[in-house]
Amino acid sequence: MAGKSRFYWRTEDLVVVGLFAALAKVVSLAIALVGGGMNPFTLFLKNGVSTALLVVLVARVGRFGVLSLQLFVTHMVSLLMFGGGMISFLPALAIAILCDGAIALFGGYRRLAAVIAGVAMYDLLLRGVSIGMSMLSARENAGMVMMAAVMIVPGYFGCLLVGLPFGAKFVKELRHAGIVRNV
Amino acid sequence: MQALCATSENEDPCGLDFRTRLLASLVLSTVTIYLSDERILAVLAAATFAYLAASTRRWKVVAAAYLMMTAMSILSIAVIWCSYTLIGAILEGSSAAGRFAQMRESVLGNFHTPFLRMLPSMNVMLALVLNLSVQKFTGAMKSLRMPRVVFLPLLVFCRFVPEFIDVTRQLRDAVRMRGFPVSFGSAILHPFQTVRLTVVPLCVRTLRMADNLAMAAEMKRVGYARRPTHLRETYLRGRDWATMAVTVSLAAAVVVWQSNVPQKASMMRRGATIEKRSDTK
Amino acid sequence: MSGEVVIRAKGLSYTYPFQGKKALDGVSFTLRRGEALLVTGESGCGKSTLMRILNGLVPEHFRGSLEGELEIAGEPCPAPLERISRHVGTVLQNPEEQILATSVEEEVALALEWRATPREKMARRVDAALCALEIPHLARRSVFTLSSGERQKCVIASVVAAESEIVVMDEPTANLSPGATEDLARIVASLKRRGAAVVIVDHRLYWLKGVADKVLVLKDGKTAAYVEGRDALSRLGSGKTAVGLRRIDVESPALRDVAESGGPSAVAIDSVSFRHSRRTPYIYRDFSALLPRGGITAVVGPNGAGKTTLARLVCGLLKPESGEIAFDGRPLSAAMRRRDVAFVMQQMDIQLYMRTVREELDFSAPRGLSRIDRRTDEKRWLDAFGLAHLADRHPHSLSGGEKQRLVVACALMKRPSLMVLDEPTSGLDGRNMRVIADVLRDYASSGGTVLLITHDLELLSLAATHRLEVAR
Repeated sequence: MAGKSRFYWRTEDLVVVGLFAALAKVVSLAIALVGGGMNPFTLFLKNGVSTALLVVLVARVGRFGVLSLQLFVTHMVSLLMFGGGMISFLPALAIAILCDGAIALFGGYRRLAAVIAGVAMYDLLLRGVSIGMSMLSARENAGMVMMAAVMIVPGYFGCLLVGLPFGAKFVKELRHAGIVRNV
Repeated sequence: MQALCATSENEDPCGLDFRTRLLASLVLSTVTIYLSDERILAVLAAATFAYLAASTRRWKVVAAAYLMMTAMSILSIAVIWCSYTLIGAILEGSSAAGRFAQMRESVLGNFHTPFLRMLPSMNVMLALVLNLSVQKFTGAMKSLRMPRVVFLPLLVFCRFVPEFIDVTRQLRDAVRMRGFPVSFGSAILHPFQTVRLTVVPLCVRTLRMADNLAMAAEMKRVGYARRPTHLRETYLRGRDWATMAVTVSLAAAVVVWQSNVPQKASMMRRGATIEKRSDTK
Repeated sequence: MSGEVVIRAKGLSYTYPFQGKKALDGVSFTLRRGEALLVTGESGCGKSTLMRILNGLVPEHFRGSLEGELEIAGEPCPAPLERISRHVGTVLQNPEEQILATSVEEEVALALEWRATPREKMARRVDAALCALEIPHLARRSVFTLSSGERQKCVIASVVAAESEIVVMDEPTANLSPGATEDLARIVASLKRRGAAVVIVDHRLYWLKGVADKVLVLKDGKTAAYVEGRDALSRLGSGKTAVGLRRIDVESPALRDVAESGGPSAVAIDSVSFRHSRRTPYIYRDFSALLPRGGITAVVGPNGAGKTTLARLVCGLLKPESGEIAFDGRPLSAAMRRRDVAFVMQQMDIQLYMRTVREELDFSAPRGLSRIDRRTDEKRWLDAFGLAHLADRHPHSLSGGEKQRLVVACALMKRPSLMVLDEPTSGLDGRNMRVIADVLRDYASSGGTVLLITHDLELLSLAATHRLEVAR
């Protein structure tokens, strides 16, 4: 007898996405405060934690378009709060939609392996957007672009070595605890 | 982040609406990417700095932001310069060594343009952030009449960033009381333990909060009405319209100016600089 | 009271999805305008499920199968949440997890805004609701600066502004001081006078004497007792303790001041001054106190007096600006105090990290403790807290009461010389509260020292031996 909502996104999904966006911001800030912003290890850990949170978010919501929604919300936050990120918004959104499609293709949101593959791809491609943005804003100085490219490496290692395996592990644990039920 | 945690409304010396500042920030930071002539960028940096000066009295924050940006730029240049020098030294004698030496020179040669490009964006962003508070932000979100899919997550984001700062603090205390030091050193020594102690409790706490919040939002029907009413409507005033007009005109002017700057000339200028440096050597 | 019937439930049963057992089984009752119904029972008895059915979250938000007859404000249920929410307003246990807006008046107006109420009408209703709750001065205040009691009033004001005929409150006193609880009793009485029907789901009973007109006691989803009448609570009978309920008659216990305790002291706080930053006022200035060894000292004082700050200073989580804190006559640094003290914080979820209950206990044991000692301690505390059958379960899959017991068990695993507990029994039923009180008494009688911050008068009367007064 459950009433059918007229919306694709349930209130619960939207609230979880908003809360995880807030959590990711606070955790990144906390890690940067402890270790210093541009420290490679801080970048490694910060990205690891953010990716682990993203995996949990995707597994919890478990609906097509969750990566796009998450990207949309985090970009809207930067857009509205800092008035920046206009140019990177569209390519990043396209990547998120592509990765949502990839998850669906790899077996859907109920398969943890598909979620992990989708998030790994998403993280990698978003880094491409970051380099693209650096190329645009520092196009006269190859050195600065190179520096930006180098800076994203520890972050991606954090994502691969910490974020994805731990994200998968935590999803399994949260499923065992009855908190995540989709995967 | 600081702005989000502000518990009271920040004083805005200009009394401009949040939407006006948002427009200024979006338009000018986007336009800056297109610009490449140093003179135009310098003019825009000066204009946006005047706007920032009129928008805030928190000079220490502005000075800190400027210092940080300068330090970051110098650091990145220094790291790359040293890397090229090192690679050049390793490859000494080979044909590639010369190319690296040239690249090293170019790093110093074009330092100022990207730096100048960052200034206008930083000025308008600071003017926005230093005048922002949670209440202003949520008020503006309502007045922008956003769809449910954007409004609800953003409302939750604004409401819970300060709450999460508190939760993170409590988590740090709880972990320390269990005998696990919360420091950079311990994170390096035990990265996996650090991730476990951070992510598991935070995820659980967040997901439990989400359940209650979703229930509350459902019961209040937040996001369900097509045209909700507002207890306090915000209106744009004359000064807002004037600022918007100046912003758009300025953006249009610099774009036109940039399109009229001959690309060749600027390229030649750059080439000349590199040549001159090689001659002096 | 003889107002019209607003809730009529007959043979109400509900089963959650993928569960074989009914969470609620054949519950019947009626509630009229101007009446208050108390729903109580042990943890897991089905109270929260009943609340979710009454406010329409079942079956729209929580699927599953609902059977029996239910009529809410004349609407046969299940009805769409859209319609139910016009009649029923809900106050959840943690108001901070229910408030979506950032200022008080915005929160009070939120439901009205999303019902597209005209602005003038909305403003009138918001003002009236704030006045009814005696908080018009808080209208423009940011919700981040409110105390727990003020946040709860803000949520109740939003229900009043929405002109809900039925108000459902879930564990409303769990985080309230005795003074704020008295305030809440007055608010419930005033809601009744305004013609609202109030459903209160709570473990604490004493504050509802003379307020509750009906009492429904649930056990395993079934009705264990249903009593009607003005003195319904008093007539509940003496069998209440047997079903794990809390006491009906609770008095604030008369405790000896720590200054008057003549025995040996375990912890000496000597001329401690503390403030959060140079720009903020002192919270403690030359504050001194002695905590008696083998005593359970209750920290008492109004909200915002700095009780938790004192706990954090003693634990070594904050450093005093001046003064020192000595254990057994030896001044200890903050790091050393963190090693010797166990701190049970209010928020359970952030104190559990491991994959199983056993691992959680193991992680809490002091470094250097032998494996055999660890196992012995683990078994001891698992048995003492009735957690032995849950040893291999994930800590976050436990119920609220079980988690609370586990966190106290973890604190004891540390073999501390001082235990500091901040509201360890909020939201606990009588049985669980007594388990914690018993363990604390045992710990103190074996020479341990306890610093207890609680608003729970029953816990205080069962366990506390001394009091330490802190003023704002």
